[in-house]
Amino acid sequence: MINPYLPYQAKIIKCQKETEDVKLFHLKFTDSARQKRFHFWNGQFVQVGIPGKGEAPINICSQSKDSTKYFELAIREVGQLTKAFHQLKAGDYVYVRGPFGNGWPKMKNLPKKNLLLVGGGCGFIPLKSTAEELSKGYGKKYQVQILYGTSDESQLLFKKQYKAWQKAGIELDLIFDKKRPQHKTVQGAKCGFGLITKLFKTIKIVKDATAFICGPPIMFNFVVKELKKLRFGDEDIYLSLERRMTCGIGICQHCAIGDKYVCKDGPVFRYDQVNNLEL
Amino acid sequence: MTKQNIDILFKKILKEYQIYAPVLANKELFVKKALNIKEIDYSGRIPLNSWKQLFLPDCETLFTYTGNFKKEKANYPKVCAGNMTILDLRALGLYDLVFSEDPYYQQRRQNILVVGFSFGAPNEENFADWKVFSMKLEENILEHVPFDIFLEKDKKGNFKIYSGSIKGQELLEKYKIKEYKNIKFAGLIPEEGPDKRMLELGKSIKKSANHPLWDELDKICFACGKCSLVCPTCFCFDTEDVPDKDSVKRQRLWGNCFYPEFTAIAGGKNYTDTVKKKIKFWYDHKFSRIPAEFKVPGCVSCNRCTLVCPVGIDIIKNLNRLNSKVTKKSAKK
Repeated sequence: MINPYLPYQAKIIKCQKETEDVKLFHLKFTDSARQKRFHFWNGQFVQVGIPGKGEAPINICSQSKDSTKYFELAIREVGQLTKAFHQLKAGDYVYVRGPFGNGWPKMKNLPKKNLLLVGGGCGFIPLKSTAEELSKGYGKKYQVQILYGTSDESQLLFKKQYKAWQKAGIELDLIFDKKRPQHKTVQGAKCGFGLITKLFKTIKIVKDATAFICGPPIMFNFVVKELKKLRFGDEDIYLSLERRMTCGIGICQHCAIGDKYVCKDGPVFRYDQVNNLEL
Repeated sequence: MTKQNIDILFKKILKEYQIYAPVLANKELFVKKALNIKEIDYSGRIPLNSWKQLFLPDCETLFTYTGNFKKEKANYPKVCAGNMTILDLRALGLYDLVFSEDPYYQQRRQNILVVGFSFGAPNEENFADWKVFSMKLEENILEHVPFDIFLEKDKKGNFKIYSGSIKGQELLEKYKIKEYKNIKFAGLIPEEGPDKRMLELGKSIKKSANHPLWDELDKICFACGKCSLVCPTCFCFDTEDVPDKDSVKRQRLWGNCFYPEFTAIAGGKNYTDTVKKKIKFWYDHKFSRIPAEFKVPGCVSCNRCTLVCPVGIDIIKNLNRLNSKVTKKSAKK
């Protein structure tokens, strides 16, 4: 019988600082056969642990097409486990289970092909793999727009990629809610000042589109309200939710909301599946 | 079959298995290790604690880490769960579904001999109290609960024996008991489909976010978690890494959704930060999530939670209120 709780050793190949408190880890399973069998889809997560410190669910942020070669996790130092994570270097080992859950829908299955990605703070991490994938030609075929809000410029993640995304036809709009931007643009992307919902009043939002949203819970309601004004239907909106998780397979109950499990039914939900729940 | 025959059966079982059964202690009935077969209770009453400790212990080591995680080699003892009532067998049926892919549960379960028992259903004197929100106990109820051996006591004190598995049948044959009937387990869901009361209740709970009941409970409940501790269908868990000399043990422990950290994430956000949210979360597990996933009630109507609640929260009354309110509203429409 397969043991769903058994973690597998993975080696840190590279790690780099993204911001003051976020590091990007590039990982590979020690057992190369396991890495070759490892398949995930954008938006899925793994349970990552360090012996003695426990495990936590972390979104995979590399592209699914590279899943059998390596995977990336962007981890913010916020608790005991992630603090231990930040002390690790290339060559160190961590322990991984998964992938778990349902990721973002596949573009080919979406009735509305234009895409709006809305990310707030660390909520931008689960959107990275989608943004990367869309920059491989999708942005020339359909309209793709990214709205990304952080507290200030120093908190921006994955900055090095912004130019490539824009070059591929993706519109990227940044907004900061704590400190006014020092420049008009960062890596070619326009910067504003205010909450992310302000962008809905100040810039033109892509029409006839599907929206992928990830951010703090308070952001969901306000962003969804703005989307509704623009006639996005419930079935055109997808959210990625965050919860405490232990098992990852819908047993331990920690991640439950109403009749759903974030680990198993999510973490990505179509809005009509969760619009009666307290997110 | 007489009581004497049953005593002989348990004596034989005791030679092979440790027997856990309802045992009277300080006038209260508890599931305990029975040191001799005379201690086993035949009243048909529900013991105050549930049987979950036998099937899902409060602490178990999943792995030992010494450079890599290795599954703990455990010797699961041969245990007989003796005289489980129909209601507790329904809870067991639920564990079998929920933990179907959990190797620890499965291995432990294989070494447990399940002996069910009924004296009336579930207890002659007070069955009326249960009917309110329980599934109705059909005549063919034994086809819809898991067991190896089942003992049915009638009013005169005579027993009928049933076997519900190959394991049970083999054991009865081995003990030279010929007078028994085979029952084939047909799953927890009755032939006519999922329980209608359960489905109604599920709908009511779903629409109940603004029901005044939750605010009322918020004021009186201490969030002490006793209800969850005794509930046979509260099986949630935490894991914890415990450092040993040169190793780390990853342990699985009983969780409790009333305790402060249950839904808290690093960074401080706590998704069930009020008593009201905690109680709703608990009800959602029983009446929304389990029915949605398994099509069976997530509450077996044992009433233990009501008995242990220090402030007298009565689950039957609460469910009736949640249900009736919705019925009235829909009638108005």
